[in-house]
Amino acid sequence: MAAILTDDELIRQAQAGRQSAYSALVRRYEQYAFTLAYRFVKNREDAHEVAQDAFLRAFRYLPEFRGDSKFSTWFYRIVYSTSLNFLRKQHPEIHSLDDENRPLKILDNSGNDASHALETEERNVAVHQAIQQLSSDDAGIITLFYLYEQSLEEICQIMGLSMSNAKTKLCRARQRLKGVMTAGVEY
Amino acid sequence: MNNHFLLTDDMLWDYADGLLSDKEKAQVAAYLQQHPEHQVRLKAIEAEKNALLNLPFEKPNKGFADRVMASWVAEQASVRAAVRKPDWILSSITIVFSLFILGFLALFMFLAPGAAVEIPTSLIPEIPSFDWAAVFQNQGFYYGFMLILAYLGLQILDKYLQQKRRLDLR
Repeated sequence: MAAILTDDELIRQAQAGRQSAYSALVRRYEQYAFTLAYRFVKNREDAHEVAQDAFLRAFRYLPEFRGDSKFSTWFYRIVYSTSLNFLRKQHPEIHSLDDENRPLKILDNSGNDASHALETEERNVAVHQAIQQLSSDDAGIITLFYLYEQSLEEICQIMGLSMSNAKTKLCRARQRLKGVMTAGVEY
Repeated sequence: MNNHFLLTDDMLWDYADGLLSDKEKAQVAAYLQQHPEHQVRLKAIEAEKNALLNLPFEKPNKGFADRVMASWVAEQASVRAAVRKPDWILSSITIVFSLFILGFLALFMFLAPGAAVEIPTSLIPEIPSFDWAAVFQNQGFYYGFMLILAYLGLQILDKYLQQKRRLDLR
């Protein structure tokens, strides 16, 4: 049975030009890249395009990757910047994904009362639905911190934020998530 | 314990996420011990955090990885083709400039007076004079020279920006 190669081993092989290593990296990270892109661009078709572009960009610069950070952190940064570039092309008025000032829209959410979401399964579904209603920035930072288990320092590297800014953004994203879950607030 | 201590939800989230300093962590833990009724809030936050940790991944369409690899292979092929094609413009300019500089050096070497050897003036052939000042003052030469310098400058700027972008992605 073939041993599972680590990211570092795969990167070394890819840097040496082995195509199978590139392919293994794509298969290992396709769900991560796609999920993160989907959180940012909020559309499956666009997320496919962004994730593919991110892989191609990462491969182009892979010979320059020296392992100063984890490969995942480096790669998520590329996914983030590719998503941001994509959104800027679609909406030239976007300067950042930070939607702090976006007006709130109250939904008729009678069928999604948070009081029903007490059981674990229901809560998981409610959180999943709520995160899809969050802004790109909020959904992105929550996904990176909780699902991808990136530390705040790594999130700073990925999103180009200062430590205090990242902490504030995470805090606000959690508040908005709670707002969406309890009051049906859409951003 | 400070009587004015207010345990906010944000603080509880940071406590659950391990983002508090040791001092703050101890403060919150002590407060929770003294006020067990707030444990319910912490439990609710931990349940929500657990749901976030267990969010499902979005799955790309079938064949996504194959499409990425096909694009990558195609891109590699085009890069290899481009590498084989020499950058003839830059090479030509480099050659012209090199010849220009070498020509100057050769002229100085051949026209320089020899200090040690005395040659009868009758044997010294008449040095053909060339009006270099006229060449340098010629507007065509001046603008051509500036154009070439500008082109080389832009090439260097382009290389620098490419390198900078690579470094930014590290």
